[in-house]
Amino acid sequence: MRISKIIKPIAFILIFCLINMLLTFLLSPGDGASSRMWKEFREYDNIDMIFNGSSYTQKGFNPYTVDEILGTNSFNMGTPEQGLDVTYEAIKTAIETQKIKTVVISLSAYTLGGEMNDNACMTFLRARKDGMTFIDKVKADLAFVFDADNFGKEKSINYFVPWVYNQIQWNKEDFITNWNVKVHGYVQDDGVTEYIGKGYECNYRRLSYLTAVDKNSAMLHVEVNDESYDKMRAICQLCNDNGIELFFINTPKAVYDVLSFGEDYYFEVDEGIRGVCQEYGATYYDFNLAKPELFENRKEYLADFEHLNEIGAEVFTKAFCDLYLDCKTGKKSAEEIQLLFYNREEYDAIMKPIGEKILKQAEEGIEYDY
Amino acid sequence: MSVFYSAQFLCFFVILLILYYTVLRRYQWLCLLGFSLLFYLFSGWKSIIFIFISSLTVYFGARNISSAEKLKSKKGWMLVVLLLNLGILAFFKYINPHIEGISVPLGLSFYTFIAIGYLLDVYYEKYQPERNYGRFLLFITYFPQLIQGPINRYGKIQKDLYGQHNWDWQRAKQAIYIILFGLMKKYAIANMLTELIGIILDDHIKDVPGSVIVFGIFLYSIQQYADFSGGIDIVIGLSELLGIHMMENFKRPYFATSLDDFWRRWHISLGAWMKDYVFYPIALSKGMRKFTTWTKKKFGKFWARTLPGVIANIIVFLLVGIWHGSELHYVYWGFYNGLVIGISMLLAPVFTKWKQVLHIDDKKQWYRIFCIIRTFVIVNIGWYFDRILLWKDSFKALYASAFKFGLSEFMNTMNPFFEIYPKKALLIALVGTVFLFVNSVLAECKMGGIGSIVEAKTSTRWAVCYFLIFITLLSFGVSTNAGGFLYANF
Repeated sequence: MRISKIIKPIAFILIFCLINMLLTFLLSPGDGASSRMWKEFREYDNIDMIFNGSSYTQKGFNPYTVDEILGTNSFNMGTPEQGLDVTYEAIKTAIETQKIKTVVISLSAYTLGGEMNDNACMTFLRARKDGMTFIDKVKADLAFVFDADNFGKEKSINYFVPWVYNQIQWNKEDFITNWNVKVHGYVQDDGVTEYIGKGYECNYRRLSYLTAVDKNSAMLHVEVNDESYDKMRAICQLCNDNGIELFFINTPKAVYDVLSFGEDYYFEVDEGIRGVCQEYGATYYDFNLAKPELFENRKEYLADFEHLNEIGAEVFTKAFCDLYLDCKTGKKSAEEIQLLFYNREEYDAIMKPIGEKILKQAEEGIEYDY
Repeated sequence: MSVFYSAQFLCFFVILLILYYTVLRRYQWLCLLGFSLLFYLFSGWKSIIFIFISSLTVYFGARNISSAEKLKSKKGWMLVVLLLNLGILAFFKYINPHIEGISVPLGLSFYTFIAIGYLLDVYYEKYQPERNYGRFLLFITYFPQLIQGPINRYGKIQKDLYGQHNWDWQRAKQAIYIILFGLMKKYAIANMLTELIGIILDDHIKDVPGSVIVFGIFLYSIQQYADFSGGIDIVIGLSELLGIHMMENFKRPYFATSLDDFWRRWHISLGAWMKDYVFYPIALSKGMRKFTTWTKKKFGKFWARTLPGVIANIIVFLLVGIWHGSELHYVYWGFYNGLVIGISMLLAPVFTKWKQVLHIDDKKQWYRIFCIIRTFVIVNIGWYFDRILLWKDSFKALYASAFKFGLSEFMNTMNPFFEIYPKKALLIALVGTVFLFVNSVLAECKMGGIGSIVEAKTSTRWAVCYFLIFITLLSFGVSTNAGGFLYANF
C-alpha cells in the first residue's frame, strides 16, 4: 500500500512524459526553421554580419552571395514571423557569441505593427537554447516565463510544451516528411522551398498578378504605434552600445502592394522608420521605392506578394551588396544614394499607375505584363 | 480566462495553498482575504475602491437594518444601500460603455449581486448580520467567484469560508479533475469554436443560407455552455482545493425537459437569486395580491393563480437580459425566455388535455427525449437574440432558418470559411464535445462522470486525466490569436 503510494505518482509522471515525447516526435517539425538556424549558427564563432527578421529576411538575403561580394562571414538569422522583440534577443546572443560588426534587419509596416506571433516567438527562443549551458538554459526559460508580457498569459505555461506551439500540418504528407526527417535524417525536397545553408532558404514559387486583389498586405492586420517604434529604438540602442553598424531594409514586395496596404499609411510608416533611424544613426533603405538602376521590381523575382523567389533573392542580394559597398567606400554620396530611390512624388507619377493597372486588370481576370 | 491558466496564477495559487495549510493554517480566512485582495489588486488598483464601497455600505447597511426597531427605518436603510450599489452597477454597465478611460471593476456584476443578496437576507431576517468586517469583506472579495460567479449565498458558504480546513488528498484529486475538465471545456471546445461562429454570425450573417445560420447557432449553444460551465468548473475546483464548497451553477442544462427546467440547470445561482429576490417579492407583493383578487373575480381561479407568476417571470427575465448587457438584443433575449415560460404556464392545462386525448404517458423515456429535443430547439431560438448583435438581424436570421434553409448550399458556403478557419480546430472541438456529451449522459443517468471520477478504476482515471490534459494542450496549437495555423513550421 505504502509502496503503491510512491509508485503510482511516479508511474503517472512517466506515462505523461512518454505521451509527451510521442507527441513531440509526431508533431514537432524535425527541420524547423528556428532550430535549424540556431544549430548551424552555433557551428560558427566568427560571424561578422547577420541578417535578422522574418521570412522576408530568411528568403531574401543569400549569405553566400553576400560573402562573395563583400568578403564577409555572414549568416541569415531570419525565421518565419520573427518579431522585433525576438530579433533583439537574437542580436544580443549574436553579439555575445560572435564577432558581429554589421546587422541588417528586414523591416516593414507588418514587422512593426503586425500581430505578434507567440508561437513563432516561443519556438525561436527555445531553439536559441541549443548550445547553451544548463544554467543559461534555465535562466533563459525563467526570463521568458517571468517577462511582464508573458507571466500572466497561457504562453508562460505552454512554453514548456514545444509541440503545442510548433506543429507540422495535420496531413499525411507532412507526417511522412517529418517521419523521414526524424528517423532517416533527410529532408524531402518539396519542390517549393529549399534550405541552402547559413540560415537561407529559397523559394521556388512564382507570383501571379491574378492574385493581386485577394493576396496583398491589406489582409494583414497592422497597427503601428509608439510601442512598435520603441522596439526599433531598443535594437538601435543595442547596436550603438556595441559599436555595430545597423541597416533596416524594406525588402521588395509586389509592385501593387503599397497601394493595397494604403499609400498614405505606407509613407507615414516609412517616415516614422526614417525618423527613428536618424535618431540613432542607423540606415534605412526601402527597396519598394528603388529605381530600376538599383533594383527593378519584376513579377519574375517574387514567390508571392511579399516574398522574393530564388532568382529575386539573388538579384536583390547583389543590389543590396552594391549599395552597401557604395556606402562604405564613399563611391556614392548620401545624396546620390537617395537619388536611387523614388520620393513620394516620383512614386505617384511612376510606380503608382503600374500598381493601379495590375490591380484593375486582376479584377478583370487579366494578368498585367510588367 | 488566461487569468487562471498562467504561470502568474499558478505561482499565486501554489503560494496560497502552502501558506493556507501550513504557516497560516490557524488564520485561514485571513490568509484567504489577503490573497483575494491581492488578486483584485492585480486587476487594477483603482477598481478596488468600488469593491470597498460596496462591502462597506452593505456591511453597515445590514448592521443598521438589524439594529433598527421600526420597519420604516429598516426599509429606508435597505433601499438606500440597494440603490447605491445598483446605481454603481448601472453606471458601469450601461453608462460607462459610452465613456472612454473608465474600465469596469473586476467582478462588479457578481459581487454586487452577492452583496445585495446578503443585504436582503438580513432584511428578511434569515440570519444575523456578520459583525466582523474582515470576514464580511472576504465573503464579497473571495477571488474564485469574481470572474464568472457563482453568486454565492452567505448563509450557505460562511461555514466553509471561515472554518478550519485540513488538506484532503481525495478532495484535492477530485478538484484537480474538475479543474482539468473546466480547462478542456474552455480551451478545447469553446475557444476552438469562437472564430468560426464569428465568421458565420458576425461577418456573413446576411449572406449565408439558413442551414449555415442554424449550424452557427448550434455551435454557439455548445460554445456558450462549454465556456461558461468550463469557467465555473475551474472556479469550483480551485475552491475545493481550499476546502470551500461552492454552489453548483450548471446541471446539464441541455437535458432540460422545459424552458423552466432549463433555467433551473443553467446559471443556477443567478436563477435562484432572481427567484428569491425578484420573483417572490413581486409575486407576493401587495399590488400583486390585489391583482390576483381582481383576476379571480374576473377570470377564475386558474388565471388568478397563474397570471401573477407569468408577469413576475417576464419581469425576472427582462432583468436577466439587462444584467447580461446594455445592448437591446439581450433585452429581447430575456423577454423571449420570460414570454415562452409565461405562455407555457398559461397553456399548461391545454397540454395536459392533449396528453390525455393522445394517451401520452409523460413518464415514458421517448417522451422525455422528445421534451429534451423540443427544449433544446426553444433554447436555441433564444440564442438567436443572445448572440446576433443587431436584433433586426436576429429576426432575419430566424426567417432564413425557417424559410431559406438551403441545405444544398451548405458545403459551398462553408468551404471558403475553412480557408480562414482551420479544420483541426473543429476536430478538436468535436472530440471535446463528444467527451462532454458522454460525461453529461453518465451524470444525468447517475452512472458516474467527472463528478465521481475519484471512485473509478486507476486506469480509467488516468486515461481521463491524460485525455483532458493533452486535448487542452493540443488546442493551443490552433489558437488563432497566435496565428499559428497560418504557418506550420517555425
